[in-house]
Amino acid sequence: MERIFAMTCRRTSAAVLVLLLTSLWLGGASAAENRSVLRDSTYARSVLANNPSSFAWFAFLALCSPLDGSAPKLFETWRPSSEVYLKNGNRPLPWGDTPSIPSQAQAYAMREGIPSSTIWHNLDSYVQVDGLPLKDDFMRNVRYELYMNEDALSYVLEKQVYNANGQAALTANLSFPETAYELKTSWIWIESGDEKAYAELSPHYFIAHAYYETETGYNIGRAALTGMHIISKIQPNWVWVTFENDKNGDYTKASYELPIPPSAVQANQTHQSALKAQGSIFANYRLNGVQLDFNSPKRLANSQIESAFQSDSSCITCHSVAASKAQPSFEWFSVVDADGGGIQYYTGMPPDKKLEGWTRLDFVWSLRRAQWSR
Amino acid sequence: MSVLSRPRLYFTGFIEWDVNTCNNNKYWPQWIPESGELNWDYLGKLDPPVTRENFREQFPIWASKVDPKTKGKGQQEPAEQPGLWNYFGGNGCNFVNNGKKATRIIGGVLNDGTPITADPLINAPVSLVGNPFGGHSAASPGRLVDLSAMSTLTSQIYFDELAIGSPGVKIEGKREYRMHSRFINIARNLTYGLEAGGAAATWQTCIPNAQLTVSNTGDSKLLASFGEAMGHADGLMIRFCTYLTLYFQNGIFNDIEIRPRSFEDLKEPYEAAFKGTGPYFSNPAYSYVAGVIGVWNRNELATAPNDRILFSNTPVPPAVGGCPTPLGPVSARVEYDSGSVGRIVLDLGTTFPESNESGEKADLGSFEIGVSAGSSFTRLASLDFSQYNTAAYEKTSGIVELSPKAPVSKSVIESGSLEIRSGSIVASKEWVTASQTDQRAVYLDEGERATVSVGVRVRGEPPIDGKVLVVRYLQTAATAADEKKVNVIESGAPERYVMFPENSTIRLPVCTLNSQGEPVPISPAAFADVVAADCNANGNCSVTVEAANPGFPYLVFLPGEQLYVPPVISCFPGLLNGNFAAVRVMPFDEGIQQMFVEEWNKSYDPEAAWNFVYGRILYLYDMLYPVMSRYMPLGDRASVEAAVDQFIPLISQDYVTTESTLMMPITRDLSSAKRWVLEAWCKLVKGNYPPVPISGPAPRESSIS
Repeated sequence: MERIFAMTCRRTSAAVLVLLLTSLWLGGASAAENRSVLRDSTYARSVLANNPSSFAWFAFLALCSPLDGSAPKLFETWRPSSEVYLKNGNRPLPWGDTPSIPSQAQAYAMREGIPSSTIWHNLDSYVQVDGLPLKDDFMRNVRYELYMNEDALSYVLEKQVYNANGQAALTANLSFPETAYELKTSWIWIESGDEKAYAELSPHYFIAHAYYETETGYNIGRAALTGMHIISKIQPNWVWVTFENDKNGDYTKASYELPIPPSAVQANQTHQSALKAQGSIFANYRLNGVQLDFNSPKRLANSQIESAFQSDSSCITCHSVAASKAQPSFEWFSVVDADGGGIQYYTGMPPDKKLEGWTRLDFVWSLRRAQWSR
Repeated sequence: MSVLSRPRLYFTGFIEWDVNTCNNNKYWPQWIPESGELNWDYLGKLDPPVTRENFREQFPIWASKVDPKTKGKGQQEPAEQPGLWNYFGGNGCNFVNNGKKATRIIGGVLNDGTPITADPLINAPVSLVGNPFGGHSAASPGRLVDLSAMSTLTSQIYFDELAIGSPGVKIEGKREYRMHSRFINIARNLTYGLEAGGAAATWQTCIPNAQLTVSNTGDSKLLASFGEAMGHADGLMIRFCTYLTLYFQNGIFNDIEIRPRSFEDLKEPYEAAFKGTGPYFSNPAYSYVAGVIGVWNRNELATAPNDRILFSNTPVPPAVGGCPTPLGPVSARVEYDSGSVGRIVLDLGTTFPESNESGEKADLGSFEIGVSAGSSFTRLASLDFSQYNTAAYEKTSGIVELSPKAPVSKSVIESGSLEIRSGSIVASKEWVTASQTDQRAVYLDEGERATVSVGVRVRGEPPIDGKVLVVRYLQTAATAADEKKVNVIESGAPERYVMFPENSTIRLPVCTLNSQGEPVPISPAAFADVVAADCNANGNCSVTVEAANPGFPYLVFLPGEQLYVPPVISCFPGLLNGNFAAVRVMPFDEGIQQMFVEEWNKSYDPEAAWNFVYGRILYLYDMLYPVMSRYMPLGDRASVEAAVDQFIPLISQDYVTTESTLMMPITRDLSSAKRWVLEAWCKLVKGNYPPVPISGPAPRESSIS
């Protein structure tokens, strides 16, 4: 009886907490107060233990704050991986120093009257981990950008693994701090001047200014956020969360194929309703699920990020094979399970036998972007 | 045993051919398969020319545009473009089961001959399944691959599994042998002939018991019958005929949204895909399928019918008049009862023609099946149109069981040759001695050897003291339109293409036949070095071949007692009887590995490494097989690098050896030397191009002791 009472109290407290925090965020409380899930690991773990979907939503809301139309959103202030793993393996700027955007983007911003405080997104990749692109309905590739928070960046700098030389010199496995976060975002590209696409997408999607490198310079435009992976080190095997836009099936060539668990469905109803009532664009985003362990659940995917292999996708297992070795020549472990003459991806328990002799990178695959000091 | 014995399952339906067609060299020699390069000499003479500098833009434009010079005289000979009808095909091949069309079990017969038309297995699907790809909910398909893209004779079906049935009533089996096109009937359809539409082929494979899984919780009598029969046999045999191939069927056989109905209709969507304003789309062809599943004994060839076999002798006029038409091959089996004929079983899967595009069988009248010895002909049974018309054909996939008209002793039947007669016309005659091989398509890299096992059968049985001649011939066609004959490779020829390192050879004269059928040496005299192989008690012998020069030699099997070799064998009909193995000796590409090593080691420049790999290897596939642009555009360095984890197994020798349906290139155009270069490049990519030197390949061990 006491246990039931305690559990009931906890659930009630959690529900109250959800409502309180949601109203605080939507009410425009300060960023510092609203980001305790991102900063306070103990608090985050307690929310996670109570309801993983709540944790996921708290993190997402914090990252997308302020939730009204004002900018920048918190996640936009985190360090993109393009500014961590630099060409020629140079040391990245420390946290707090803002990398500059290409001069072509600066010139564009001046011409178009875009405030200099605007954060630009470098959507530097368009290939998913299975080697395939995802097309949107405008016949362009969906593009991606990765980010890490301050504590993740600090660890990368401390361990000097921002370049391949540093990773090749590792003598022990990596272990990021419990306050580390990484994000992977997916975007529909909006060509400069394509007001028709903007008009179609802006009622449903968060839109940001963006660019990407081409063979001849940079393409400058805007982009619509279609999905966001969030990973948190509040537990040793990290916590794996993914959100995507409800309209992705209408504007890209992929839609979500896996079932959304009941707890996520309920959390989505709660939070999306509240966001809709406040007119926030983030009402259009939903949680697909949370992975806490290798079989909990066995599969999780984002239609924008694991489009073609959703039924063979396990965020945690695929990231568990993040590893490298220096001999006989430096390389990173393969994400492909080629046993049996096919192409498949690791799900369930990690292939620990295959990883013997490899240096583990603590689930952080962005490290594979590291370049050599030349 | 084989599908001519009982029990049997019959299935009908359709097969999809999503084969890439730009490599066919149908009228234009756009690439040189012997070297694995674009034909720069030819392309440079086009207007405007396609050169090494402009090919990425110009080749697709040229390949997409219809060439009016290719228009033939008939309505079914429209003008075509070099990319032909399926420029973006991925070589996928599978039985169609997609809601629009189905390939299903339609009936069967039990061990005791009881025909079954109601059973849990009836209407269950039959599928060819490829290797898994990314956990897709839809299984990846098998693949259709020509050993020689310019040849009509060398098609193969690669697959990973065969699946028959539905959950609870199912047989599934892992592939042991890939399939080869056999008994090709070029003009099976009397009036329809767009592309290969009028042609037919027979396909066969067997799966050993150890690789089969049977599930029969649905209490299928047919499955139970099979289970019992397989207990006395070595596995399962599936044989099917593909015929009446239809083109431009998007929207009819599938839901693909780009729906061209002619070659002209293809030009715009081809160009749109290359410009990025439209998708890369498939435009598969579809063939009708009539098939049968039976049991298999290991001494039977796995991939070729080796019962008694009859081939066309004299064309037969249709009953309603018209041009006489040759019958296609017939597999035959005679079963005995107390020393006398009990039953004659014929596989007419590829025998009788269809009259039109609707698939109606042509009425060629009635036939007598009998045995001929000298000038005597002993009737065994008769066959009329009701037994081979469309309804009959589709009911039992062309398998016909005939009761004898009168007793005929086994000794008469086993000492004569079977014939099918229409009145006084000997429509088909038995090819008493037939030589076939399961190693119908052999790929050899430089320095490699392979063993070709030849099964000689006399009246479907292993002969006593059997022998076969194995003779090297060569196809020299630069385009498919030129494919008409193969020429003997004479003794002392500077290029032998394959050597016989382990078999002794004899020298036979090259002769033509005079009007009396006697061999006459050609002038000037020529000879050929021939393997005269002795068969074991099972009627099998083997020949070892070793790569000598890149090219497409044929190993033709001639009667062991023959004392000459013909200078030329026409492909049609000569090789249609199937007595050959086709060999592809891959390009040697000598020196390319060291060139790559030197290129990398001089500057550790990733861009230079990529330019080497694209400019010398990937460019060919980028141009001929743009299907890759749907997945991993081969001209896009970032895409290929990002997919390196997938690329490595796909190009590996392991995937070639294990015949994975995902192997790249699926057309098997990649030499081992170029594979080494790609793998070395992938190794660099896997480490993000570590600026350290790399080493060349280990010296190849000589295979000649």
